[in-house]
Amino acid sequence: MNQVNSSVNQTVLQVDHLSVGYKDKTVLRELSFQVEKGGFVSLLGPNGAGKTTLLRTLSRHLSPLYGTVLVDQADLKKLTQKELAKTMSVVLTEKVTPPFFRAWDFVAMGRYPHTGFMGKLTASDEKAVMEALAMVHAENLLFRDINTLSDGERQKILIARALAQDPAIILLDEPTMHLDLKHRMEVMTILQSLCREKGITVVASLHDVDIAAKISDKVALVKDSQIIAWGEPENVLSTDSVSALYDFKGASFNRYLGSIEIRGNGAGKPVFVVAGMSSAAILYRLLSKRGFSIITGILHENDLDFFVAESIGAENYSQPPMTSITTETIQKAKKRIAACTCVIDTGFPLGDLNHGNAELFKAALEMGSPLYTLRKDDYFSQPAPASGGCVFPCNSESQLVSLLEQQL
Amino acid sequence: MTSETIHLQKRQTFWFIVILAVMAVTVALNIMIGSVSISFSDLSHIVSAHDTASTEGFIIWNIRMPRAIAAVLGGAFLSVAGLLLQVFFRNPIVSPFILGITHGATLMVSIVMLTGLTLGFSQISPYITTLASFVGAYAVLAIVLVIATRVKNGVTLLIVGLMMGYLCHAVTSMLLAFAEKEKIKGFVLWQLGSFSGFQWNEIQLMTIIGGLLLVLVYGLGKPLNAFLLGEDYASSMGVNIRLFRILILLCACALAGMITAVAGPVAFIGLAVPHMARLCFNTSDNRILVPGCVLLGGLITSLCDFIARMVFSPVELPISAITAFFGAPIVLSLLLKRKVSI
Amino acid sequence: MEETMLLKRHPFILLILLGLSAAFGCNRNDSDTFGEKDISDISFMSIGSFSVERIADNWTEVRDGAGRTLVLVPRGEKAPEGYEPQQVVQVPVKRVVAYGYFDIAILKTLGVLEDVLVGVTADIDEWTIPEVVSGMKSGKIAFLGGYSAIDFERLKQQSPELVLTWDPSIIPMMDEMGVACAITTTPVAMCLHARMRFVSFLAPFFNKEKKAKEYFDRVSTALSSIREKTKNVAHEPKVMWGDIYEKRVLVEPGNAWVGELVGLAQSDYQFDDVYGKSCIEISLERFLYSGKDADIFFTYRTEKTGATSKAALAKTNPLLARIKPLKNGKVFSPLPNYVQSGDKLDEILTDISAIIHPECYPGHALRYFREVPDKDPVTPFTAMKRISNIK
Repeated sequence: MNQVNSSVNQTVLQVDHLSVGYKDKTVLRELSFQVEKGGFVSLLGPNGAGKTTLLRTLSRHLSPLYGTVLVDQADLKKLTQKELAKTMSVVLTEKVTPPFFRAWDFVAMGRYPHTGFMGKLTASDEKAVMEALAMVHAENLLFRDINTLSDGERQKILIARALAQDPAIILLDEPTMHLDLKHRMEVMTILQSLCREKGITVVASLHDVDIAAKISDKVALVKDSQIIAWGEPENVLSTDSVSALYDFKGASFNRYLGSIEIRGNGAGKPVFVVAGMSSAAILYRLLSKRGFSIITGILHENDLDFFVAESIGAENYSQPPMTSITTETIQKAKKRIAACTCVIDTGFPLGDLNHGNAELFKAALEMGSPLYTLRKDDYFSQPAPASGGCVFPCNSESQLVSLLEQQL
Repeated sequence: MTSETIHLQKRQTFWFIVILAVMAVTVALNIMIGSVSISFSDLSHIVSAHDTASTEGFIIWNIRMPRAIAAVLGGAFLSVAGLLLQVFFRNPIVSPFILGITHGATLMVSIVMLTGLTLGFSQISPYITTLASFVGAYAVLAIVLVIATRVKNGVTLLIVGLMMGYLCHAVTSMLLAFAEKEKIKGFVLWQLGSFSGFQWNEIQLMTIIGGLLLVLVYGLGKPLNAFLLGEDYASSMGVNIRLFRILILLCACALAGMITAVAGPVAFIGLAVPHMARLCFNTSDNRILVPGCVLLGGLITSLCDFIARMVFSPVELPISAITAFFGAPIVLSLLLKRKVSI
Repeated sequence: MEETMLLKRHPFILLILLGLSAAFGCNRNDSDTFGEKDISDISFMSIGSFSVERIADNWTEVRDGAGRTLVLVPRGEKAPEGYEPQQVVQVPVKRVVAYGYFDIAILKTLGVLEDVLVGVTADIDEWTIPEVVSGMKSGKIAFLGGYSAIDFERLKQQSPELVLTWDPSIIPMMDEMGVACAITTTPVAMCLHARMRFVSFLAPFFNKEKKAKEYFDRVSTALSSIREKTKNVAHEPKVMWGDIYEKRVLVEPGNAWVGELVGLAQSDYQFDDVYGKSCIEISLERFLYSGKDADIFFTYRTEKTGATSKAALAKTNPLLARIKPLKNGKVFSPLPNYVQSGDKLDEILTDISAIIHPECYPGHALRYFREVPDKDPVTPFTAMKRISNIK
């Protein structure tokens, strides 16, 4: 048995040189990692990467092809069925709906390894079941027939069953699949509380990278028959690593925003968006959705708009934070405006550092480009510019874009 | 526990008592009433004096009583076998004969009855048909067990069982095509199962073997319940799946095979009674359903036997026709009342 | 037998038929009693479900056992209006395929067997009728395959003009081939009278009404003789007819011709009240009860198919071992020629009467039945076994 790294927390799961798969196919190879007690581990990766295979091997539904798995320092191979059941429970993807089962009966099944020969529930068993139901906020479902439950409710009951088994580790295979947002959030928070309050180790395969980033202690990026990265999400999840994991072509993960943006394909009519001061995020997304090619500036690099523009794949004129906009940048931007079909002003407040953007408005009007603006004050009602540029004030992003589409 | 649990338990107890009582009445009717009318006073005398010498006494003690008991046992064993296989395959339309047990028995019986071969059975016992169907049923059972240890999932086993059934049926059909007409008569008679003609030694054998099997099945109630959640969840809760599979198949096929051997193929009971029991006791808990099926199966089969015997007395109708004729509408009406699918 | 199988497979047909059997019951209301009227005088004759009616000088309309109508037209003449082409039969028929032993035996009675029979549904080694055997050997009569698996190609090759069968499912095929088809069985058992008169149904097909009359007279005479001989017997024996199988028992119903005959021969048929088509299952207790005083028991099975000895029958179903015929009464089983001897109905009836009242028939040798011995005969093989057991 390997020596455990001395850490305050006990290693509850340790995997060494593990290869998992089937007789004729190795799905993952050379996996080595360890999980501390009470940790939340997310397995991320594309479909078919082997997350389910790994989970099934850890739960001993599949034999490992090579390597060892230690559960609470004991070799997984050597544990009896009952010992394993007392240590580890699972939540699977298969839909289980036996007839005439009430939620209570279903969760009570989890007490299997703890009850006697005929499975009669003692008072402590019943208490454990009620506690499990309370943890998943499903006391109200107690006597409902499980066939009448919604997907979200049923998932909570499945988790409660796994919880009633009183395990040290719970393995979950895609627990938020098919769930609506409310239940997805609920399940994730329940799992988090299992770790924090009960000290149960959770290993779950997830698809929501953004949520996984926010809740997990460790993530494993599973791809190409390996775990290509393992560690804290803050270290492991970056734009590049996530794009590589899922082979993103039209999307990107922004680690600061903690979310995924859909990249534009850059093939539509070019529009120049003068933005900044975090005013343009919604407009960017709408324009991108409508197929416009976005060129934007002049943004400071600590601006929210900068992050969104990067993620969306917009052409970006930017300045380092806390610096004034330079004439150079303005010239470049002006040249670019000439090639665009219009200019859009997102109505950001003008201040000392971004005053240079006002030049871009002037340039646009002089060139005769139509200027669409969200500005609420009457900035543009000053004496009309020289050539036939028009200003189109709009009240909202959607109105602006509709108008834009009509006129172009 | 809570009021709902208590209410359910009370209801289940109520039904147990009712079914037991009605079954006792039906058994009594099966003993008291027959195509030969025997007055109640004669009957009491026969019973108290244990008279087997007179024809009426012989009829009561050696024809009606064994038959009444055989019907109860037959119903109990077939129902439990059906329940076990429905849980095992997690499929509500499975009957105890899905694995080809009856077809194997029929094939062996067709060999001894339709061809000249007795395969040495007559040396062992004069009851060559019973012996042949035992051998046929249990041979299929052995094959099923061997295959069950090798396949990964239940559907494969199901298909293998079905194919074996078809194969046996095909060979039987060929034998029928070439058989002499006189011999076909007896064979066709066997194919329509019946609880007629049972003797006390058979009843003893059935009770001992079947009783042991039923006790074993009841003892497997906890893993059976776990199995309702599927093999993956069951094994994660601590069930030894490989051993469990073998035991369940063994019990189910042994019970069904035994009845097919001594009574011929009796249809519908194994399929319908577990559903009736679930609807009646409002649960999927096998610790309730196993005894529930024993009682309910015994009751339904006794009742059907009574109808088969008495409706056109002394002519006997085939019991499989009666079980289906009355059973199917009952299951349908219970389902419709509940407005829930199984 | 074959009909039984059909009905056993569809027991509800049996149920319904039993219920309706009264309607189809034996029609004893037609004018002739045993043996009197000349058939050619009768313009309409009903024979159970069958019927024969002269509708014109040379046209005869018949109704078969399934109620289908055929019209018999002399060869070369025009058929009357109002009939479908497949209903028209040119008579005398020259080529016949027949399923049933009884039909073939009747053809023999009519004296046309060797001339007209061209196809049968049993192979050569199953036949005891010499004319059929020789016909099959010479190639004139073809084996068309088992009754459930007829080789229609072969049948077509034999170019029959008429098929006598119990299987209505071949009718569409026969219509297509342009072959007339007559169903010769009835939904319920034929009573004695219908069985005797059946020859009159087949006779017009071959213009052999005279032969039919001869047959009918022969049988009637035999019946009269039976009644005469047994008129004054002191004791009416109780008779059972059926068969014992492992755990089950079949009997011949009371409405069948056997039941009638037994009654006519001054004896008591134990299953008079049982209604059915033929060989129907009854409860063991009733069989036992009826058998406890029975004197004579007739089996269905021959020695070859299981009725070897009383001990063997008792061993098959020990619950019935105490019926009187198996203990100190008599058991008779048919000889192999019995089932194919419909043309010798008179002799069969006499045999049965002689069995029931041996005292009225001194020196009578049974030709269609054998008395079943008490025990299985000891063959050299069984003797050797016994000796080796003693050692």
